[in-house]
Amino acid sequence: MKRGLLAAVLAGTLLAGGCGIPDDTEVRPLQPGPAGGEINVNAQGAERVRREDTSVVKDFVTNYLAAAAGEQKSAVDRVKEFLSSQAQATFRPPDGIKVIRVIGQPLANPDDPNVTIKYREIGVLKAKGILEPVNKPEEQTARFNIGAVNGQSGIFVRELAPALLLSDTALKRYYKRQTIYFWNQERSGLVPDVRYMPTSVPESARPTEVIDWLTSGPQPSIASLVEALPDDTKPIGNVPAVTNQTLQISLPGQVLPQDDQPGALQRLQQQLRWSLRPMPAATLALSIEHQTYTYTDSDYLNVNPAYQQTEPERFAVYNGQIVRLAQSYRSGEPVPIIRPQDNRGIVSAALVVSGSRSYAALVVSERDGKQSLKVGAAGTGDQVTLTRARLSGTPGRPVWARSPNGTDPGTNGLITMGGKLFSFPAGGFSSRRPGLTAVQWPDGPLAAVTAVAVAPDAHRIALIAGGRLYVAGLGLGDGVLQVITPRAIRTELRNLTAVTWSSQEWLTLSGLKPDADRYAIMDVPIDGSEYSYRQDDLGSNPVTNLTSRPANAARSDENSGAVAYMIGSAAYDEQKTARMAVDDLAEKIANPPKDKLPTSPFFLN
Amino acid sequence: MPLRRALRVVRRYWRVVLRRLRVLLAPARRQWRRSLQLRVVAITLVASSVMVAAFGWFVAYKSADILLNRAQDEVFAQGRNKRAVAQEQLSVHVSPVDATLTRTLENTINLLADGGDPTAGSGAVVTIQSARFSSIRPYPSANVDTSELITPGMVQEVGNDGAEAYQIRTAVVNGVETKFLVYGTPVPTRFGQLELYYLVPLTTEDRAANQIRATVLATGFALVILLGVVAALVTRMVVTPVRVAARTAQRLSAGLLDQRMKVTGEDDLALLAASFNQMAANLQRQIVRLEEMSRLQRRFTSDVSHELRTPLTTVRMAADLIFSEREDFDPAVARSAELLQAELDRFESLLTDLLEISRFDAGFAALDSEHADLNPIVERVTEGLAGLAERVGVTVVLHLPESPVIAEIDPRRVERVLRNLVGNAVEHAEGRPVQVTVASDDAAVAITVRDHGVGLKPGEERLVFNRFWRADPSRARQTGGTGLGLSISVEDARLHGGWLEAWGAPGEGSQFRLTLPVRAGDRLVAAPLPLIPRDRVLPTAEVTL
Repeated sequence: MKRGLLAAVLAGTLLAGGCGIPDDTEVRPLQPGPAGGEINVNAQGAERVRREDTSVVKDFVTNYLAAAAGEQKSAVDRVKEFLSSQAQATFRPPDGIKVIRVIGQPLANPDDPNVTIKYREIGVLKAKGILEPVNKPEEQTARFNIGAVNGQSGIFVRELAPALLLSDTALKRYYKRQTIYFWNQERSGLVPDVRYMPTSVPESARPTEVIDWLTSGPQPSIASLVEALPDDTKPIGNVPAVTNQTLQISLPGQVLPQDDQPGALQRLQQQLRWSLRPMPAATLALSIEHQTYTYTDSDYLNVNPAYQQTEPERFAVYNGQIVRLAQSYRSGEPVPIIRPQDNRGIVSAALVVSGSRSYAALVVSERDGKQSLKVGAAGTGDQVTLTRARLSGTPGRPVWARSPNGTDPGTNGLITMGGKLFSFPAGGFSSRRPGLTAVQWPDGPLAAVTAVAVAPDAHRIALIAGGRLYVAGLGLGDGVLQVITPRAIRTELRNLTAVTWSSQEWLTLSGLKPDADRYAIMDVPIDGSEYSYRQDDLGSNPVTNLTSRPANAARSDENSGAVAYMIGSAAYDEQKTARMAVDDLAEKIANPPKDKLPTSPFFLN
Repeated sequence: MPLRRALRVVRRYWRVVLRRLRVLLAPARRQWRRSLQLRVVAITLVASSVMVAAFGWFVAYKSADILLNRAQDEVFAQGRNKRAVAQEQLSVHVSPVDATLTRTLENTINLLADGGDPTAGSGAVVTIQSARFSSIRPYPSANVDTSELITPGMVQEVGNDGAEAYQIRTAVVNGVETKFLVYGTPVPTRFGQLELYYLVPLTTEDRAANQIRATVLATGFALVILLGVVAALVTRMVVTPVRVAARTAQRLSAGLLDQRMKVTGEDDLALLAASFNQMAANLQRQIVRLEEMSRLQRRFTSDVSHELRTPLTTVRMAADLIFSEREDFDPAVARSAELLQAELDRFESLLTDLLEISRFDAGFAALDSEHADLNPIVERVTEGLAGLAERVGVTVVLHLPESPVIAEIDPRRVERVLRNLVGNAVEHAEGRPVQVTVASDDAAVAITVRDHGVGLKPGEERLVFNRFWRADPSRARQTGGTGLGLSISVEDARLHGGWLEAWGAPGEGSQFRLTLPVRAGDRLVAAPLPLIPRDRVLPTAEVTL
């Protein structure tokens, strides 16, 4: 019996110790891992400046002013690499990178470690690539103490003001403008939102950044005009690199509101595809709640009002009539939209087509020498019936803020008169609205508004007020147009006279050059972060009536829109140096009077 | 040398321990030898324990194996899915120093995390790290120190060799010892390889395996005990009747012929008891019959002897008268008178022997023992037979020790035995000398009588002690023996607790040896003299010569 018990105990011990899940095992290989993963020796990160690159003070300062470029979070760390350890310890810059335009060269004297730069502040580059323009007209200075540090090679910034500075040239070099889009609140079209993408972000990571920006919402300047994605919309991980010509984006279910899922999905894909342009892949695969939708069509292009499919149609006013210009698209066709009997006494005009609607706004001279505004709308191919409002002063050029889908309530005209900005209805004047309506200024009016231009999306306007440039939002409050948060934009030109949108991101301005009393035409992005002259010397007479057909947003040449303007009574096409003559008209005129020349050029938009 | 000494000491102590163990285990061993039930139960327990242990081990092993395999399959599948996600997420990066790589790693880990508390067995840990890029620090999904779980061997296999691998590790995680299945896989990226480790607690599987093991262990133990009890009960059912039968048989053999077994039921054991009882009854009947017959035979012999004595006495008296007057008779009648006298002597001695035998058979023979010296007895016998010896031309040679050979014997009976033996020897000596040798030691005395006559054929050594047995019935008698002498001698020797044995070989004569204990009642173990004479020529020697 004893032996039996012993055997049982032994068996029990064996059982207890010999089986079960072991506490530890050896490492057991399963199979070779997936292919790939070889170290890429060229993958050393994007190009960037380093402190060690130079010991020449001027070049060092230039490099220092580019150090912050790159991913926003680590900007301070990159700048600190240029600082001595002592300076690093006290370097506590405020949020945001100041984008500056350096005036002249850094001022440095031999044997003097103190270096001074003069600059003007353009804006503040914030998180999510948002550049908020700042217009401080006064020059500012920044002083640095630059020199060697014991025991270390090269030179360091040893003392400085606590700010992250980025020169405009560095901004241009190390960032790329990336326009993302939000739907306007009427859900009729996309409104661009210009951001800055560091070039250090690899191409494959850009979609991820864009999705991050989109889900983080629009920038404040257009926030009240557009519809953000639903709250709590957070991207699900990164957007993987393109495979099989497909870009796969995963988003949570919240991105589609319950009440209008098909519509919201459609709008979402259109918004995404415009925002991701240039599209890295032919196909977009959108995964929402484990369901994948693929899009390869190009229909989405139409939802951006800045998308143009046709060449510009050029017009001018000749002898009080709207005429087509030669060498223009459809130059052989009659003047559209307006009836021939209305085509007289015209001073300036604005003709637009949107969706299935056409709109006309004409400033005409009355017999009594005064001017009136004729406005009307009609279906495509129809001719409008104009209604008139008499004007008490001399108006500027009328412009249209057209609803992208061609609805009359969403379309309004704008015109300046007597330093003020007025609106007029798309459908024409009526007993309820017999005349112009002053626009509202919720943030306080700008004085002496002399020119206005409306962006293709109709929600942003550019204004010249007091000779300076402003960009503002255009909203509708209580049935009246409102100019929302006008922000002054720094420009190199002064005493600005006219403005127009040469693309959805760029403005074309006219004004006096900074260093001479000569007029010039210049292109600037809507934040003024850079500039380029179109015409750098147009004489001393002011340029007026700048008008344009904005560039096609689907093309990459972002500011190449067709522009025309007037100097005095002479009209010019931006592509030609000579003033417009009768020969430039599409319809040949026999025995033209010598004193009659084409004026007030404009484009059918 | 010290080693040898130490070994010696060890060996000594080992022997001591072994001896003590033997002493301690002696009762158990005795019990083991004696108890069939113990043996059956013990063997059943051992055999069933081995079987149950083997089966239990197999069941527990297989179940743990199945649990582990299932967990592994799931973990591998999930791990590969996670790798695919991580690979996808990391595909956007082209450099290990990409500004947004950190964010991607953090987001990826958040995306891959299962949630739950790893130490509570509900949550797994996912971590991405790199053996190749020191700038990429490990990103675990939970605040867990994975250094104990991800071994250098694992890092070598996954990080450097680029293979998928797994390992089971037990480590203290956040103060709780937890068993983890660690799965590692390389994650290829455009700038090089990272590693993803998926650490899944095996708490549930471990608990299940332990429960199965405990259940199997308890069931197995219960089964073994049950089998032991069953074996004990079954053996008891069989052994108890056998023991009863054994006791009954013992009683039967002790003479209690009326002992019977109890017959219960109709099974095999009942059949055994019934058969046993039948056998006992038959035995009893036969024994009683044989006893009765034996008693009648002895009674008849005794009665005949007694009844013959009275007429014989009368005839004797008449014959004595005639014999004393034979001188006066015709020589032929005188010769008849002598013959009558001689045959009457012979008849009387035969009758005496028969009575003696009857006494032995009836168990009335009693030993009248006293301390006596054997030498005078031998001499007396030899002198008594000197006449016969002389007549047949045989010399009787005595080999007597110088010192008296004292033993506790009945001198009358010993003398009768010796007279018988020496007489037979002289009678069969064929004229050759007869040697009588006496010897003694502490425990026994022995007397051998050796003749060199015709000897005994093989097998006759035992027959010579049968009643009325003769080697050659046609052979003329010279001593007029009754044929009962050696039978009576054997009974006398037995009465002393001694031996009477014979040896003989054809042509080599024979030797008889009487061995008696020095003290009456002692048990004989050896004789001071050999049964086979020393002067015997070995047959092998003859062949050799």
